[in-house]
Amino acid sequence: MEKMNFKTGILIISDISLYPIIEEINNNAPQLTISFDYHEDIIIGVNKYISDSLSRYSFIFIHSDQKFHNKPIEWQINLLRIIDNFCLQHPKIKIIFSNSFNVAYKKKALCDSIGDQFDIISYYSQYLLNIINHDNAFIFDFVSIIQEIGSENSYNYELGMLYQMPYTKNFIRYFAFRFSDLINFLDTGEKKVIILDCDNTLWQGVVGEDGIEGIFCDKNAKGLLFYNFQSFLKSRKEDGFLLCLCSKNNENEVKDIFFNKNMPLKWDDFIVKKINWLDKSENIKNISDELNLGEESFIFIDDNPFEINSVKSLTNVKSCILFENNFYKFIQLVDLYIFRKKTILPDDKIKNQQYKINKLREREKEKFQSIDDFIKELDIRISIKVNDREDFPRLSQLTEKTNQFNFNKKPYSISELNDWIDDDNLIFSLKVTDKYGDYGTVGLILIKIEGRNVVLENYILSCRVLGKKIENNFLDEVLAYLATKEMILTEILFKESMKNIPAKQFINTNNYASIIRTTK
Amino acid sequence: MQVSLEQLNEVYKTVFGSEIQITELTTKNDIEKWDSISHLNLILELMHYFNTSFTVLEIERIKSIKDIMEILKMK
Repeated sequence: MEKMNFKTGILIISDISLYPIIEEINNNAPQLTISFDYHEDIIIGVNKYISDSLSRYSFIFIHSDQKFHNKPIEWQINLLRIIDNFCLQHPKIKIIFSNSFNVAYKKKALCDSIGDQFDIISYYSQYLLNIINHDNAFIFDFVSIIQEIGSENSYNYELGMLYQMPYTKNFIRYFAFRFSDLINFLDTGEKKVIILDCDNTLWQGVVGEDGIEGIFCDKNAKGLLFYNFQSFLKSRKEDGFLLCLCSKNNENEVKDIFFNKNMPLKWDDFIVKKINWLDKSENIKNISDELNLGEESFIFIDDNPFEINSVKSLTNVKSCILFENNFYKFIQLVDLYIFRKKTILPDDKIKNQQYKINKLREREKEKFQSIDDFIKELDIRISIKVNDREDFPRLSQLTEKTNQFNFNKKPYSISELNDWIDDDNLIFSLKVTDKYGDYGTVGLILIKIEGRNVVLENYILSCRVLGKKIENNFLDEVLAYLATKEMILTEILFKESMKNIPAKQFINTNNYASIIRTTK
Repeated sequence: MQVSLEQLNEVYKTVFGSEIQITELTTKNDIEKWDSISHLNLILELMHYFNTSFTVLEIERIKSIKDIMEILKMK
């Protein structure tokens, strides 16, 4: 036991025979940089963690502070205790722990009474929670594999009885695929860059052949998968991944698609674009140089098996993924660990990013003498849309969530917003960008039309854009629009609350006080 | 179920390596690698390839190509 070298080996504690599984992992995951060894010290298998504990040199015996009992639940709990301690004592060793026990204990046969079943699961869960609180512990989601392929396709009890290996080939294959993904993720470090092909990967169709009309990436049947894929990539970008294009195409044609199609990903979302007729491995090497990042941290996605194989063999990119127009494959793809970050960000990841950018903005602020200089330097651009139903989900959210700059705190549902414009009223929505990034849709103005006179029913701005003179600019633009239609703003509804002080300050410092109608 | 020697050959190559060549007379004694661990792999591959399952007795009984053919013919 003392000889065990944890830095290079993998220790697997299991109560089943692992040989077929490990063989499958070795066969199907040549990209894996860890080699499994059948050496007794490295792998404990074949029901061995129970029998092993009888040997005073075994892993279990050394790390256990008490004797084992006969009931399987006690074995399991004791094992969890050992692992918990082990995580604590060896912070540099990574522990992968599966939740397979949850499946096993759905089997009522293993329980003494009906209530026992639930007691066991909740008791067990408490220990499991302790373990996953360690930074070096990782859960391998075994249950989701069973859920995906179904328990009837996963288990073969005849083999379980004879060989302590109760799984089917189907299960083993999928298990190996998912497990090597996890090991690869833990072993090679976080991926940082996603390199993407264009045609039949980011959209349905080939630009060079089908033209812009033959390209699909939307919420209709033909483009739906691609729309989802782009949305997924966008979320990865928000988590900190860098996106790059590597496509055999004419750059102008690809650019045209991005500027003329309303897709989740925009041209500027890609940090490096290699759109040319060079070999892809060549382009990937250039991307590596430009970003000064190693090829090991790249993920390459293409719909062409030839490109996948050539990049696999000619570069150090370990994660080359074949993109297929198939929802089942798509779900498996987005579920891969390589698309995850090791450290878990707080719930609201997007905000986290924006706060980081805000920090940059604050730092910049200190460099300028006056706020006006600063705002000028930020290069703020606003764009305003009228009655755009696509924005309504976000606008409805703004009416619910915004407090500080909100003239009348009144939530509107999406259907209420639809009704609003169906009654011939106007909704202006505001998008803001500056040199650090995109704020998204951050404001709205509701205008009620009563002949030539119009009433401002509500004005809402997200607090993220306050103090940048956007308050005035947005309203000025709206007033200018109304003037072109020969309409005059005669009333502004306002309802004072504990929270909307910034809105009140805005009204007081501008000359709108005369047309304010206070509501209750 | 109809079973051909070609199909079994394919399964055997997957389990024991591409250099393996079987005949209808091949038994456990003829293949050095056919130990208890690869027996499990063989059973797994057979079940997967022919999309069937074996009883415990059948798994124990398989010791030659002839055994496999007889068992699969009954399926």
